[in-house]
Amino acid sequence: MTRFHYLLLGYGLIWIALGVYLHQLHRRLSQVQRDLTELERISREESSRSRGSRG
Amino acid sequence: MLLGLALAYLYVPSERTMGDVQRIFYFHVPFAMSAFLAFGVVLISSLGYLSTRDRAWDRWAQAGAEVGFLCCTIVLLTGPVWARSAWGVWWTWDARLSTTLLLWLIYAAYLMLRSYGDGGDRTLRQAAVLGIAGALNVPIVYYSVAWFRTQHPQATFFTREGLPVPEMAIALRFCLAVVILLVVDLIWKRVWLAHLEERRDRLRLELEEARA
Repeated sequence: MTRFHYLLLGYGLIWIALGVYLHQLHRRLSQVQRDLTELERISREESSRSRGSRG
Repeated sequence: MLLGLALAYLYVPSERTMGDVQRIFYFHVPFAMSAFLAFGVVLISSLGYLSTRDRAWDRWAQAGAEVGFLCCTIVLLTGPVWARSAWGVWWTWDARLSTTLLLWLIYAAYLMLRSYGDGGDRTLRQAAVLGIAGALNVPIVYYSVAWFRTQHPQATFFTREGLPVPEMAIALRFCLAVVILLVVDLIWKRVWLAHLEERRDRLRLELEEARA
């Protein structure tokens, strides 16, 4: 391997490590945001249902 | 990052003895400095958590440890590539390399403790102590090149002599600023994720209690 190949390998590893971490972080962020939206919808529905049954 | 890459490759002249592979330096050093910064966040936040038991401190400690671990991983990936070309070996049990590996292992243990622990106060306290112990290793890593005879070069950038070529200093400063900004953004996003996860878990618990 030439020095240029080592340089490419070094930069490639940086981008792969950053890419994997960013992908994981965004996947987890969108998952938790989806969960929150769903839970808030259920919570709203349940509270309106309980108000309706009381009324 | 791309502009930093362009500066490192197109603007800075090739180093005389190491050639092109020396350009790894413009990202290797900034990621090392950013790892120290992130572990500094862990130190302050862990001390904050131990003295107040406020979970907000713990979120910052966790974010700092995760991002610092990522930076340390990048340092441990790029270092051997550079070493293979410059020294002819991928790894040597040199003081700087060994203490950096030890730092990485401490934070790997920290993240495992957080993943497999029950998330209760005891786990968070143990994590805070481990986080502080890891951060205390940072000065040992930094000064290892001065305290021991090592193959790893001295940190010339922060000395009075500085770097031999002004273009090198400009490119390094630029890359350092870019990587620090990236790390600050990542820590911020990770803290936000932890905040949302806590909100989700609380909401889930409230729903279960309301149904019971």
